[in-house]
Amino acid sequence: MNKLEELKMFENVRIRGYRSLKDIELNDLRQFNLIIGKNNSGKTNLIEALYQAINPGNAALLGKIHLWKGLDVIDPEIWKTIFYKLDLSNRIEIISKIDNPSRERFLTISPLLSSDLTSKEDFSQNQRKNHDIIKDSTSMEPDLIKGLSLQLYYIEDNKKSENYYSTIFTQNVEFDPVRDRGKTITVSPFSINNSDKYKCLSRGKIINSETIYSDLWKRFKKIAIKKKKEDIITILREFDSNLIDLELIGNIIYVDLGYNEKMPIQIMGYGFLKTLALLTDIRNEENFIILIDEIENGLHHKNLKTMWSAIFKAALLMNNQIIATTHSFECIRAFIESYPKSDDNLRVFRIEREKDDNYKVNKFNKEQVELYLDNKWEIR
Amino acid sequence: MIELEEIQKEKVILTEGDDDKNFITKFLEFETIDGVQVISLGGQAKIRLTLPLFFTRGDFDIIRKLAIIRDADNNSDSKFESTVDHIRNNKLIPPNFINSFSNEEPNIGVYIITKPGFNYGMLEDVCLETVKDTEAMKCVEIFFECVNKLPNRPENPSKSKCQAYRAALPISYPSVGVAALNRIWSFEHNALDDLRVFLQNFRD
Repeated sequence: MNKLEELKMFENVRIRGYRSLKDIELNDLRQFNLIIGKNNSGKTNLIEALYQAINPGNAALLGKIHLWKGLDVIDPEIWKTIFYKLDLSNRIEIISKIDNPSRERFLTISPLLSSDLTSKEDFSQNQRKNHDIIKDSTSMEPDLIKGLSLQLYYIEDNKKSENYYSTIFTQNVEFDPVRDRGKTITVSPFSINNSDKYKCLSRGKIINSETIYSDLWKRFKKIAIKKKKEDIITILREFDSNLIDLELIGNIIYVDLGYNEKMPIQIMGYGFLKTLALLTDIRNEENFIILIDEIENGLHHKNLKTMWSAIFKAALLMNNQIIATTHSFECIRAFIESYPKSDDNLRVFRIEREKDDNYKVNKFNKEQVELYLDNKWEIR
Repeated sequence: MIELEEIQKEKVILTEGDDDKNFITKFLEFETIDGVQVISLGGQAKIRLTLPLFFTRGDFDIIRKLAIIRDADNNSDSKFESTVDHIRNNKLIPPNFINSFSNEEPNIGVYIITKPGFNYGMLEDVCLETVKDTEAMKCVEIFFECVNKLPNRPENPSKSKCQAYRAALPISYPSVGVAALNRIWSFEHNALDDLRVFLQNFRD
């Protein structure tokens, strides 16, 4: 069953064993979602796991996250950190239910250990086997993580799909030539093998401090070509009423503030730049799940309402689902107060890491958050 | 930037609105019970939403002892039961009896304010009881003898009487709570003895 996925929004997500996330569940996600929690509560880890859940069959996504973080992606110790308590006998499970049609996707991520990689021939069998047994790492010789193995299936209309397997090798792997009938097969780091049977059209992206300004000019170019530039300029005038035009010259965006000369966009304030960057992402993509980590970073609280109004406007137009994190009370207030509609399409989730890494999730609708704000109660 | 009302103390009393908050704050002071934070749930109209929400506050875990003080309105038993339901729904242990505390931490107490000697009523009834022998109250009773003959009488006689009493004072206070802050109600009165006993739980 290779039914293509259309745009879907996450409805429910459960993550087990990804970094600090021992077991956490977000239910009843809506089009606009804000995840709040104290520092170190696991918000960024949650966004990363959701990024993997957007396309659960793609083995490259967690590698991308490591690259953005500037981590040494061939260091096996770094790869260990994605497993809860750095224990390679723990597996990562990400269950994501998406809507329209309702489909529940079950992803398991296991480490590929040096002991798994005896021969290329055996490898495929081992890969399947590894997902069916929980290994006891304490009983084995010290084992190096050489990559990740992903197993995915989904349930739709009460029917379970076949299993799909993907792999990412993070180390140079040389299979044993004796076991492979004299052939030496080597696999280079970052060799990715995604199942071509699983067609996932659910699409999305992550926006964080590492990605937000990368290729901004290319996104702006797409906006300009699609004749959406004026919408963005109108919104950005909230930040600077002198703004006349934005123009791409080469790979630099120039701003026209009515002076004799245009100036590079970098001279503008952070609120202006961040909103431009967010809008070029949201306005360019239709039917996307957009994950934004620490959305308030670097913005003055007075600019938050303008930024949220712009995001709502763009995302409603493009039918994008937004899942953002913050620990700023002002950002929560701006999120609630800027929403232009009276429907029930907003949720705020507070995540709390309790004793023994157990997670407590409280979910609030717009009315409940408004009561918090009216009473000046601490919601974070 | 908005200033949040954070939970700063381990002992907290929740009241339905600001009037009760002012009354309880002043009464605690009179009883020399300190170290208690009194928080308003934003008024009776919202309490159905704000009371369950209070348990989800990010700083709720600070609380070791919590009292919820509510008006009985028509029936103290049903008000107690609905309050206890909210506590249970948030996976906390409620007290077994009205005007008492649970033994599990956080210790949660529920006090239902009634007209003294009845199972209905509100804070205003208790306030009026504490001043029933004053000269001003005698004037109010005479006034209400007249009011009671009107074809359209006040919907809430206790609130109206309380208002009339405050109007009969040398300085008129806009609300029961502000009157409490100015020590208009007689905190020594035995009409407040049940509440006095209940609040002893907050002594160190």
